[in-house]
Amino acid sequence: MREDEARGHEEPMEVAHQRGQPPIIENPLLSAMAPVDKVRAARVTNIPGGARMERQPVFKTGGPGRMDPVPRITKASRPKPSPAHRLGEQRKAVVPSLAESPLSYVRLRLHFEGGRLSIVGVREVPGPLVVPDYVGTGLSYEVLAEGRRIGLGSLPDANSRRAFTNIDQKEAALGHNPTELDSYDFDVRVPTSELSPERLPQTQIHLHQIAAAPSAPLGPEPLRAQLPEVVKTVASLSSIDLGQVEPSARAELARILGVTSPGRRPRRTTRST
Amino acid sequence: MPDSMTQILSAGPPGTKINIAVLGDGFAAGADQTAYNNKVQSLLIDGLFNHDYYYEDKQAFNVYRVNLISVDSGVGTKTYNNGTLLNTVTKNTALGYYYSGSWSHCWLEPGANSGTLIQNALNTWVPDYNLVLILLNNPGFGGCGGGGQAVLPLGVTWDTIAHEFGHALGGFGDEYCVSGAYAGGEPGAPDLTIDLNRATVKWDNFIDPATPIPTGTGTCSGYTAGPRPATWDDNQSVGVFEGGGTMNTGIYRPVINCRMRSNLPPYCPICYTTMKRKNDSKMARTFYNAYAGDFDGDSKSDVLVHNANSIITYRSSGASLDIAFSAVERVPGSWQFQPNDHFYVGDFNGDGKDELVVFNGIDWIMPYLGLLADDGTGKLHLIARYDGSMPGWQFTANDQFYVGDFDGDGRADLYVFNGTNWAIPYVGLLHSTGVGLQLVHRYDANLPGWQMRPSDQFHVGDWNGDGRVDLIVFNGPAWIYPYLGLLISDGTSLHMGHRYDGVMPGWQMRPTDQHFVGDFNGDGKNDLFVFNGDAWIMAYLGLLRSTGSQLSMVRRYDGNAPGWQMRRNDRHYVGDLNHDGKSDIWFFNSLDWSHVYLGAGISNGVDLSVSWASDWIGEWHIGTVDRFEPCDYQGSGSRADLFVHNQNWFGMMRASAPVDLDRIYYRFIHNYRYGRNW
Repeated sequence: MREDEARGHEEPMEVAHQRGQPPIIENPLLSAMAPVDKVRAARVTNIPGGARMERQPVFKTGGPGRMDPVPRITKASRPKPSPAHRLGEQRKAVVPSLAESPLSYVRLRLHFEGGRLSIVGVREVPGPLVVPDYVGTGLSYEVLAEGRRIGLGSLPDANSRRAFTNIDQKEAALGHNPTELDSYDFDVRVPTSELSPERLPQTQIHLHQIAAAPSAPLGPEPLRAQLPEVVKTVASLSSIDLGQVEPSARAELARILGVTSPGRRPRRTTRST
Repeated sequence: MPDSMTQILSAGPPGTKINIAVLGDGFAAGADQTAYNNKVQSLLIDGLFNHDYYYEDKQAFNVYRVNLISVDSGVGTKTYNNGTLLNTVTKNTALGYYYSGSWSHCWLEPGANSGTLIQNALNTWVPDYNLVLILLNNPGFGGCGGGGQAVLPLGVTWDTIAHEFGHALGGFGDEYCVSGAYAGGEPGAPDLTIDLNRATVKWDNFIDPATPIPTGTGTCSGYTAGPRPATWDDNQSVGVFEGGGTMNTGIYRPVINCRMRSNLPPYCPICYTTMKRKNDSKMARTFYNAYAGDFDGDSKSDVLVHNANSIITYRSSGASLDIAFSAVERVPGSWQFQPNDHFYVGDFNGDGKDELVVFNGIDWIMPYLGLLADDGTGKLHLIARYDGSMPGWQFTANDQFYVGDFDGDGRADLYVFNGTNWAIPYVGLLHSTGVGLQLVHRYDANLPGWQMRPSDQFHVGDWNGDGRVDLIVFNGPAWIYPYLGLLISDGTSLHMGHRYDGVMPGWQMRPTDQHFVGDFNGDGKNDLFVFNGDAWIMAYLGLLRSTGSQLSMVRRYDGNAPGWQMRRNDRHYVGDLNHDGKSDIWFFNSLDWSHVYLGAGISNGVDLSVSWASDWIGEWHIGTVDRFEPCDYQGSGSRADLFVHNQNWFGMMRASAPVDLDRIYYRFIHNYRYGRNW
């Protein structure tokens, strides 16, 4: 393991901490502490001026900015143990709710059919988005903008349907009766800040089949560049064309991008990541 | 009754977590909704998220329970006979599903509008979803999964869902066998292979070199390659076993019995590790905030790790750790965890197990203090909470707490100091009743013989050996010269044992003096180590013995301790490294040399002898980012051990001329029978 930071000066390992070595002089401009038997209280306490602590300090009660007085605690008023039942919610400080977050991401619903992808749904979700740095085997999506990855996710069973039952049922011995689907939907997620009308033509969505999971976290390069031997692209959307988005989703994507209708001058929304 | 949504597991913002949306179909208003709620609770919270991997990684998940009100109770049904539809009963339900009970029809099927109704419900009620669980009001026992959904009737149990989530989240293949011989290429699933080469099989790092490969051959085999080792574990010992992916032969799985074979066992090391890696970014967990304590009363130090709105405790087995308790968002009682929670460990009820005081002065509209204790089943719950104040003490953000049994009743108490939030500083003595805390004395502005200042520093220790934990208070910068006071507790109040003005015996005090408490001569009274690395030409370390009410210099090291050249950035930790009842001291320096050093300074009562290691302690590369917690994870009876931790790594170090590493964990704490996750 290695989690380290820069160190000090070089010293020969055979010298450090060896008996007989002289003390390290940290700052020659400073003085040395007096020998143990020469340390005298009087020498210090005779320093003139400065604030000194009282021997028997006295404090006047009352005044602003103070705790309330300690109540007189009698046997009767002694605090009882907290009730066993559940206490109420702790009261939240006044902080913006997630809905008021300046961050958001866009969930695009993709439809796969006949080797083609199309956008059939759009939803803006408040809050930050964590783009993972790992994919497992099976289907995965990747969103690239100008060659840079802006979205990634595993879709292990997007194209399958399977029956299941409890292990103690006789049908459990029959397996899952799996069906591989010719058409299916899945969701991709991208930070809103990564989408803009100008970038949409350069925004690509790829559906990959991953044959073997990477052994280390992924870097920022496209998957096909990092894992050329295990990534097979199943389908791609080479750009996002608002005009090609399903009508019910188009308006929402246009709203998120601040475009009143495809082709008009964009107007950004306030959210970004 | 309108439709509604309740978040029943809240780990964080949806874009940072895996979101499970649960929808109900065929549940009418009233009792049906109660039944639905109970079923969701038993399946997910009490079932799935109360077991092994899902329990451990709760922090990666949000669960949204959507209560959809159906007009009719129960879902529609379809009856098949050999594939022929005999009968359809349609009901007016929220999602329009039918249950058929036919395996060949995936047990159930959607109605014509189910897809739209589901999408509408999701868009209306949940911010985001990665997995959708649709619960049908039908007593059947078969479900249909895929495409990020699992649709199931009431008869399906949590372990079946855990298996299904292995497909839906992990992309795992089945490890059970139905029939046939596999004749395809290398499967993509991480838990299936046709590769019998030890060097290239995809889970090679988990196979003990002593394990034969293949380990089991024949139809859906168990261990057939010679005598099965006595320590073999069918669920956790990894080899290469024939049968899997529903095929009897020609394909291999990693263990004899994984959850992907028979649902109830935990995931095998391969499936577990895949899940952990895939969801690591959703967990966003670090080892920064780790607290040592004996939470189960077995005399071995366990550890609590706090992250954001979750805690997890790990039980020490003496040389390794295992998960003991995991909680996200809150524990019953209730205490809601937040990033700025601070934990204080002590046996506050005298039951031989450590409890936790938790304080948060930042994240809420008012400060909260809670006392968390074992509920009798190994889980923590809140037994007392103080919202904003308790009689005699008003909590504020900068309250500082010190754990010590100041009244000697065998229960840890709390000293609390606040020097900054009020016009004057305060010290409170909060006595533990075992079920709560109560203020027994408060000092306003002054302690006996001491004028408090905001920059006062406190340490706890029993200076006179009477079993009551006392205080020292030090102030370096507030006065013309530093002061140090030994405050003695009589159980309900303090008196000044001795005050040192500017000098202690043999020691000229400076504002940057650092103090460490320990009984270095083993006389039952706590003594004082004092260090200063930057106020003088060289670093100094003093060993001052407590006489009961005063301090006496036993030994002062000027520049060098025996076997250790002291430097300005030396860090120190007190323990009893050689189990002799005398407190010793760890030395650590990562800044002043080109190598990093960790030294063990053993006290003989009047002197220290230091041995050290540099740079590597076993596989642990010691460095500036490391934090150390003296503890006793071996259960030796003395604090001879260290938990060491940083963002990604957690280690268990044991004093051994000078130190050895017992365990090292990366990203998560898990004990593999062979291999590891990096």
